[in-house]
Amino acid sequence: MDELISRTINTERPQFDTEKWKQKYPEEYQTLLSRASKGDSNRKPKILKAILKSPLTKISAAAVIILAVTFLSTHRDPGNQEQPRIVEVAKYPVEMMTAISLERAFRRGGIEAVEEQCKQAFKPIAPRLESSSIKQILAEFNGNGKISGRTRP
Amino acid sequence: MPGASEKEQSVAQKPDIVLVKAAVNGNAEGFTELCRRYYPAMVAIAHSVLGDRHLAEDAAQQAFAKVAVKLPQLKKESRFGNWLAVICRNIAKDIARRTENFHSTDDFSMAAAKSGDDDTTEVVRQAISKLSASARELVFLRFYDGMSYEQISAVLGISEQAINGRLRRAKKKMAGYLRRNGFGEV
Repeated sequence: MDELISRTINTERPQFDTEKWKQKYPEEYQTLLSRASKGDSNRKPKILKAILKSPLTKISAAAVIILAVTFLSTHRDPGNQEQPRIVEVAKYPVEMMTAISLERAFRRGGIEAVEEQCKQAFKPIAPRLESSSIKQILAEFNGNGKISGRTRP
Repeated sequence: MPGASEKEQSVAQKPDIVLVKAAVNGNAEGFTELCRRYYPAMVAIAHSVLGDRHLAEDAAQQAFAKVAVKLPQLKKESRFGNWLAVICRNIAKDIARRTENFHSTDDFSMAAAKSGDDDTTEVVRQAISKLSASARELVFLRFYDGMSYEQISAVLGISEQAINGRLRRAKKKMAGYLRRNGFGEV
């Protein structure tokens, strides 16, 4: 069988004639030569090409980027971080206690609880405003219950 | 010029992948060496489609012209032979459509009549024409220029085992055709 096929289709070995081909396709040949002057500039950078070529390197590159971003976001230089601003709430112990009590009331029941707290706080003071002297009122504010003869609840 | 012949020899000894890389960067010598190496295979592929040697040579040359321009688009240098074969096959099919000279039994019969071949050769031609396009291409590659399985593998991009199997099936089919047409055991 092999002999039969060989006899049927086996012909003279075709020879490539370079000069003839160049004359027949001058534009294509010039295009080929023009790449020599351009060199590698029209090709992608080697590192980028290597990364994009293999799926494994693609995944590795993505993992490195994710790790870097995570590290930067969690371990940023504390010196560069903006310090939280401290709000000056109270200068004196009494004011501080008032602020704490109002804050607790707010946490418990919001602004309604704060109002209720204020109402309760001012209730014992209100009737005495007419009869009490300024000295007594100030003493009440400073928490000295001995002067007025009463104690805070 | 002894210098030039030495240079030619060194280019001829280089593996395909090196020549392809050089050709991508515009090296004309590398490119023409690749053309010399793959020309017989490309003519065989085109001949299996067109059924005409001269048209097949035109198709192969046209394929090299296309490759000269599109070579930077080649992704894997190691697949050059297969890529070139695909281009050549498509060009041959285009030519066949244009010239309405699609490979057929009649074409083979006419070619045989013109060349004054004997009856056996004509029946073998007909048997080849009855094969599928891929099997016919394989038979042409193997017997046109006595290409090795390794060379065919580089051009078709299939394993040597697959080539062996396909070739065996093609020959079996041809033998069946010959038996039905009055030939004894072949």
